[in-house]
Parts: sequence; C-alpha cells; structure tokens
Amino acid sequence: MITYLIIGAFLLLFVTAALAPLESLNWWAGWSREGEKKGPAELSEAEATAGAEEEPDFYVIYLSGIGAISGDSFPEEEYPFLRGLEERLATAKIITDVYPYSVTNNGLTGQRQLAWLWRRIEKLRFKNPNSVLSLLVNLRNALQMLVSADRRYGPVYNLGIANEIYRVLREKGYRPEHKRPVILLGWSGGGQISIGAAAYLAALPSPLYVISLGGMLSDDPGLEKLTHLWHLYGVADPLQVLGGVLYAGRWPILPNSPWNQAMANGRIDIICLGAYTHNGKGNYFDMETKLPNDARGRTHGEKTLDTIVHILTDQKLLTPGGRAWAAAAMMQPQSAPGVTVSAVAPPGVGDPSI
Amino acid sequence: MLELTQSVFTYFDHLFQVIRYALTLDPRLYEYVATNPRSGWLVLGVVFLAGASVLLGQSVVLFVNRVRRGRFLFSLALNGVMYVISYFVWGVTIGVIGRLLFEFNPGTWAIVRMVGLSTAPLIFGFFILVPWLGPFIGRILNIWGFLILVSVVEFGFQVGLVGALVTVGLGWLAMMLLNNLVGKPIAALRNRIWQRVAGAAIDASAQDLLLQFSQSEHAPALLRENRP
Repeated sequence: MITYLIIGAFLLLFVTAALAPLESLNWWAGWSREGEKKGPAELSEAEATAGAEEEPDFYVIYLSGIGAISGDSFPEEEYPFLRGLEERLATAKIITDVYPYSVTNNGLTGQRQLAWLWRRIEKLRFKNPNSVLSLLVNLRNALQMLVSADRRYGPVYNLGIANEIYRVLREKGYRPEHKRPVILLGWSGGGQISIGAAAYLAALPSPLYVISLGGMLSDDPGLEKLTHLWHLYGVADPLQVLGGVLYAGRWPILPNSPWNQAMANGRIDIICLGAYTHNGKGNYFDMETKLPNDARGRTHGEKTLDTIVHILTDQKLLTPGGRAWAAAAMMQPQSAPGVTVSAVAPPGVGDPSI
Repeated sequence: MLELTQSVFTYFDHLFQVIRYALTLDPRLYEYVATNPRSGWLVLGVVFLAGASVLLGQSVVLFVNRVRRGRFLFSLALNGVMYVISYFVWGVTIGVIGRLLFEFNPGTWAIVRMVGLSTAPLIFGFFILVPWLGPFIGRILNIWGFLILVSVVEFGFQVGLVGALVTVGLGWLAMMLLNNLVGKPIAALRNRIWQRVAGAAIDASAQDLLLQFSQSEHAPALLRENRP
C-alpha cells in the first residue's frame, strides 16, 4: 500500500512537472484565453498611458522568489526590505508588481482554475507563514523557474516575462529614448528569471543591470546580453549553490558557456554577504537578527540593502551621500517597521566592508 | 455494441499487460509474441502510443509554431504512424540480418513484432517535457529500449549477448545505409507532410522561430520597438 502511495506521489510530481511548461507554451500558441485578451503582440494600451512627468534616475524591477503568490503578495519578510529599498533609493522608481512566475503576469489568485486553492493557501500562510501547504506555491513556482532556465522553453517563457516587464515599465513612465538604466533585482528564482528576461530586455537602449539575491542561476544565454550581473550570496545558503551544480554550463569544464564567458569578460561579480541562509533566521531580508562582528551593528537585511546601495553608487547611479539616501534618513529615520536606518554613516559610502 | 465495447476493453487490458512485461524484459512475453501472430495488433498499439507520446514530449516545436489544437492532435497521430512505419523497417532489417547470421530462425514477422516491443519505454516519452530533467529522461528511455531490443534479439535468434549486440550494430549500419540510399526522398515526403501540418520545418528550434517572429509585424512591443 505504502509502495503504491509513493509511486503515485512520484507519478503525480512528474506529471505536474511535465505540465509546467504548458502555461507559457499555451500563451505563445494563442490557445489560452488570457493569450487572446493580451497576446504577445497586443501591448500598446500601456504605452499610450506613459506619463509626461519627469523620469526617475533609474528603474528597479523587483522579481520575487518562488514563495510569491502574485505581483502584490509576497512572503511577509520581504515587505520591510522593500520599504527599506524605497527609502534608500529615493531617486529611483521601484517596481514590484511583475509576477515572474507567469508569462501573462497573472498571479496565482488571478483568473485561474485553481485560484480558489491558491487563495486558501494565501490565507493560511498569512496566519502561519510556515504552513506546509505553502510549499505547493514553492513547488509550482520552482517548476516555472526551471522552465525559464530550460533551453527548450526559456526563449518563449523569458520573452513573456520580458514583455510584461517592458509593459509595466512603460506604464510607470519609462521612455526608451531617455535611456534611463534598468535594474532587475531578482531574489532566489527571480534571479534566474531576471537573467532569462535580460536576453530580450537588452534590446532596450538603456543599460541593463541584474542584481541577484541568492539566485539559483543557470548558464542562461541572457548573460551574454546584460550589462552587468552582481550575485549576492550567503555561505549558509545551499539553494543558490544548486545553480552551479545543476547547470553544466556553470561548471568550469565548459569555458565557452554563457556563464563562463560572462565571468571571463568580467560581467559577473560574485559578492559574499556572510553566513546568510536562504530561508528562516539570518536570511537576506532578516531585519531583526544582528550580524555577528558587524562594526555598525546592522541586521542581515540592512547589510543586503547597503550592499545594493554600494553597487549602485559604484555604478554612479547614486551620488555618494546624495539626496537619495540622506533625504530618506533625515525625514523618516524609523518609518518602516523592522527597518532601522542608521543616520550615523550613509550605507555603502566610503566603507570598504560594504 | 456490448461485444465491441468488451473487445476494446480486453484489447487495452492486454495492451497494458504487454507494456508491463516488455518493460521488465520478460522472456515469457517474447515467447507469446513470437508464437502468436495475433499479438501483432498489440505490438502495433505499443509502437503507436510510443510514437505519439514521444512527440508529445518533444512538442515544443509545435507550440512554438503556434499550431492550432486540431493540427496539434493530427501531428501526434501522424507521428504515431511514422513511428510504426520506421519500426517496421527496423524490425525487417534486424530479421534479415539475423537470418543471414544465425541458424535459428523464428521468422521475419515474429522478429518484427518482437522488435516493436522495444518501443515500450517510449510510452513515457511524454515526460521529456519535464523542465531541466526531460532530456535526461529521454536518454534513459532510449537506453531502456535498447536493452529490450538486445534481449529480444538474444531470445529471438537464441544467441548470446555478443551475437545480439553484433546484430543490432549491423542493423543500425544497414539503417544508416538505407537512409542515405533511399531515405532522402522518404524524408523529403515526411518533411513536406510535417510542414503542411505544423507549418514549419521539422528541425526548426525555438530560437530560429522566435528570431523569425521578432522580425514580423506581429512581434511583441518590446521587440518591435527596440530593434537594433
């Protein structure tokens, strides 16, 4: 009996995995109803609404990890981090409403046959963030991440995501002719999808940067197109290591793979943040646990934010000690719950330890 | 009507049993298939299902070509038929080589039926769709099919492993020769049918088709507006 149950579970898992690419393939083939409403060729209504007001200095598109349920429903821990990011990057436009696990930006609780199930899981997760059922969300999204990294489906999947990113950018006022830099900030699975979408977003005249937070990155051809990638990782994070194990193109024996070529050309920087974990206490977003041996007594999440600021300052997207950070620190020193903004030393400025 | 329904159920019941025994390389099944000409229909079912399943596993090209649902199903059926034909030729080739090499001869038709059993693992060809793991699954299924083929030849001609491997190897060489001599017009005909059904070349990759698409007027805004 138990043997049959195990076989059944495996079969179910394999069938689910085999069906995972169908959402994006259906969209592409024009089979799905969503595809009919908002097919790959019909995007112009967003462009028409692009405002005429002054553009921000640059755009940051946040692509969440595999725990995301929709473009506005992330795991709780990410919200204080995102507020901290907005405070530090006041001259940028932070965009969080792209759902990277659907080619049509259709969240799990959107128009779907199983929306009722995902809504129930969302409620459960709100009450208990460690609910076992929420692993279903992770499984579903992890499969979509694998679809993005698969050379057979990636070209279609990543086009859909890139198209949605472009549509939202235009909605938020992005004008290609102004060439404002575009930064994709991808957490976990969002890191892989960022480098996948980069293959198409590189067609924009803007510089295109990717910052991966513990991303499970493959040797995606998009790496050949982006301007620069920073991969931030923690030594206690086994999941980001998987990318280097599962994808042969990241092994040193294949020097001509997109990953190894980008590494050789100096387009990838790998930055170790310390003993960060992927989930739980001491993760990239943890705004409570203090770092051991940190001179400024920062939390894990604060150091992640500071590192991002440091990178952007280094790229001259932020002015050292400029209005972006200073204004936020002076006006709202404690505006986000759980986020402590140090007013003593501007983060990332003149600090060799980032 | 009732009889017909009953026969259909019986057929599928037997079909699943044949698949199960073939997957476990069971010599009792080889015996049954070798001595029972009516088993040909069951083997035909196995080969057809394997062909359709493998195409489902490799159907990315159909999706990327934006093939309509009806054509999609027709393509699956067409691939099933193509599989049946190619395995028939493969079976005849092995049968002829075995007859030339070995004394024991179970008859070419019996060998053709038995060779068809080696496609049984490809019934799981659908799982080639699985992201990341799919191509690896495909290779495992091919190796599994190869093992069945070798054991079928061992049983069919009552030879040892080396004899069976030599027969399969020579069969493969003969198929290559046939492909080069008479295969080209057949392949051209197959490609023409395919192109008519799917609307694209059989060997076009997703990248090729997207590149083609990005240059058309129906391309997404991102590609249309930002061409280099």
